[in-house]
Amino acid sequence: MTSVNRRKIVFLILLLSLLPSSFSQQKLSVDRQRKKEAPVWKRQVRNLNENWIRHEWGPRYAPGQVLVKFKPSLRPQLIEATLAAYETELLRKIRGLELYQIKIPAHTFVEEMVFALNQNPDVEYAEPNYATRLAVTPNDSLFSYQYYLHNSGQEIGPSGSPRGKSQADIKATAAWEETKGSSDVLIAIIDTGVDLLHPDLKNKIHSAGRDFINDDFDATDDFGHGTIVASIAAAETNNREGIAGVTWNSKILPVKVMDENGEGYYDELISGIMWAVDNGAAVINLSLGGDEASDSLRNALKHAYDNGVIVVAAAGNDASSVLYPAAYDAYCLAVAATNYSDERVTFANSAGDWESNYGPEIDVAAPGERVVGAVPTWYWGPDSFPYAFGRGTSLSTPQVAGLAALLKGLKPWLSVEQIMDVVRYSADDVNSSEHPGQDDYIGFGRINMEKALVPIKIKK
Amino acid sequence: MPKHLRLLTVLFLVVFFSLTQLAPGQFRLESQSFKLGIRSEYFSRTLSSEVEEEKPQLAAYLINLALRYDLRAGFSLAILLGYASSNYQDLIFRQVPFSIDFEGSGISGFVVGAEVEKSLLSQNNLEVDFLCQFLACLGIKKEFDIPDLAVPGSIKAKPSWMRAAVGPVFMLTGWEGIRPYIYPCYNYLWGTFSMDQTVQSLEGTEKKKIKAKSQFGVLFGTGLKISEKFELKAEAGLYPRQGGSDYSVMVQALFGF
Repeated sequence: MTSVNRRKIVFLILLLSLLPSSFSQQKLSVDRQRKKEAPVWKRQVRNLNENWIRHEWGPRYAPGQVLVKFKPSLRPQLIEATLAAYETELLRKIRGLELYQIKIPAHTFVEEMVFALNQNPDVEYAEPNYATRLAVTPNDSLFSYQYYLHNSGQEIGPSGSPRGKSQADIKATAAWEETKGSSDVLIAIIDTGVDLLHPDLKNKIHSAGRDFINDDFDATDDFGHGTIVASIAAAETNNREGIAGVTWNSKILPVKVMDENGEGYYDELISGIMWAVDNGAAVINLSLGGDEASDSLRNALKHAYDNGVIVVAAAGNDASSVLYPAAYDAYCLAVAATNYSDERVTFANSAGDWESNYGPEIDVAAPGERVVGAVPTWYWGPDSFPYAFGRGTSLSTPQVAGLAALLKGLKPWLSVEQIMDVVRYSADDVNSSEHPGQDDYIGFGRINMEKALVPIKIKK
Repeated sequence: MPKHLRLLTVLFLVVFFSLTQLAPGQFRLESQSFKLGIRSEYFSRTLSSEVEEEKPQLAAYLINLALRYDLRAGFSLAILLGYASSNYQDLIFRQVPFSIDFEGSGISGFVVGAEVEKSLLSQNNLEVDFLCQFLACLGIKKEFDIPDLAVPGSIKAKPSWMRAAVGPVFMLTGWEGIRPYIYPCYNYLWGTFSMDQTVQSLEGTEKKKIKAKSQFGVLFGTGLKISEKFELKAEAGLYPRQGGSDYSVMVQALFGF
């Protein structure tokens, strides 16, 4: 067997292990025709849209409740009499503001009661008891499925899906209070390309990128993997559509180094890394890898490191040692996968037959089981909803890349090593009961964007 | 010229011109006296911040020895030496690798200060003085652990601040032994807070300038002359700022000798 053939087989094996296994309900490598016929996802799409409508246009205030403030001169007995005259019931008095939370009669509407009370000269003001929500919760229609960003223990997919463990997430919503990223920060997605016209990505694409397979400057995705990876890192967010990206504002630089079958060679990968570094990437996402060590690949990573580019790479999904380039510990962050219950993904707890790779090179982990993301618009056929659930360290990696991009945008003066350390040291050691401290399975732990980005309170 | 330098210049000029008014013949040994005592103070000041939502605060307890030298009637100098314990709230550091919201308390510091008071006018039952105060707190480095990281980490905090006040004192002198007064003043508090962060190999330093949001204060107080040798002073101050007001309280006991 020639070395070229051996390389090709090795790369094929790794792609088979990384790519197809990273998609759950509908594996990307499954016959396209069969997928077109499968009605399941389409039904789910409709359900999703209905959910979104309810979510967006649901009650803006507590039903049957009004908040009312009386004029300070009014004595308590008169207030009681006034409330009784309107047939309301006092639920609570908010002290300090002297605000009365009242329950209105069942036969009246909130708006009517607010209007009536505001006509009363003894009332300073009355208003509905408006609903609150998380300060930074994007309105993307699939956000509630993105348990990895914010997990309240919700169902992590369409009705009947498993429920995640509350807090088993990367704390994205809290972190977005601090930063939503910088548009100056480019994340190079070195992969199968990216769907440049995807509605959830088209406004986030920096340029058509570079295609090292066809040797041109159009890195359109003809396989599907790069699109889902790119969307997890930096999908357009708060656009009432699809999913939210880890970073709202950073841009995507697509670099295609794998062909329409999801195959490629190290030379294309190395060329892609070098090109991304020289074309302004601040972060490189490598949701791919190979079994073989390569000095050239190592040197390409060193080139990125020396030029201030943070490289994040997938550990792999076949319960074996960490793939290259993730194994080049000095120059990149190696990412393992956890699930929606903050457990490392193993054969025992994954929905399919896959297990996150392990070894001393593992730096951190991020959720990689049932991760929802965008797929190319052609993927499920015409007029379909271009999103899918996937799994694998391929999908954990862009979460870490997104965090690195947020850090780079927030603190551009930090060195690559410092940003890598912040990502590592801010992680939650979610397997501390079995493996306290840094370990071979999830490294320092599952990433925590809040700790990495939001000022840590020091109280003493 | 920075504001605080301008203020120090004004202070210097006031002291200089006050002293130059004292021709040698004017010194009358019998009117000169020393008073030694203790001054305790607490203040809470909101600090300015570039981020509107953040309202950093500095609160400090001070206990000082005060030595006052009355050169002649209506003119006195005082020096203050002591200790301060400073508490900070909501002071955010974003230059260090891990951003820190510092709410540390009990940061010790040495205090040195000086005060010059000069009578400008005395008519009927009203006396108008001119009062300049300067106080510096030189903080001692204190270490705090950073909680909840995957590896041990800590910060070392070293704040120092200064306060200068200048303004007229309007004092009512119609009562025997009681002298209520009001002291509207330009009151400037500024300083630096340096923070060294170490999280294993990760290191960072940030030096932050701090400055009180309010630069004007109104202090109300009263002096009580208990005996020829013993006097008390109590004072409360308000420092209006956008969205509220800061405050201070102070008591002082002085013994003559």
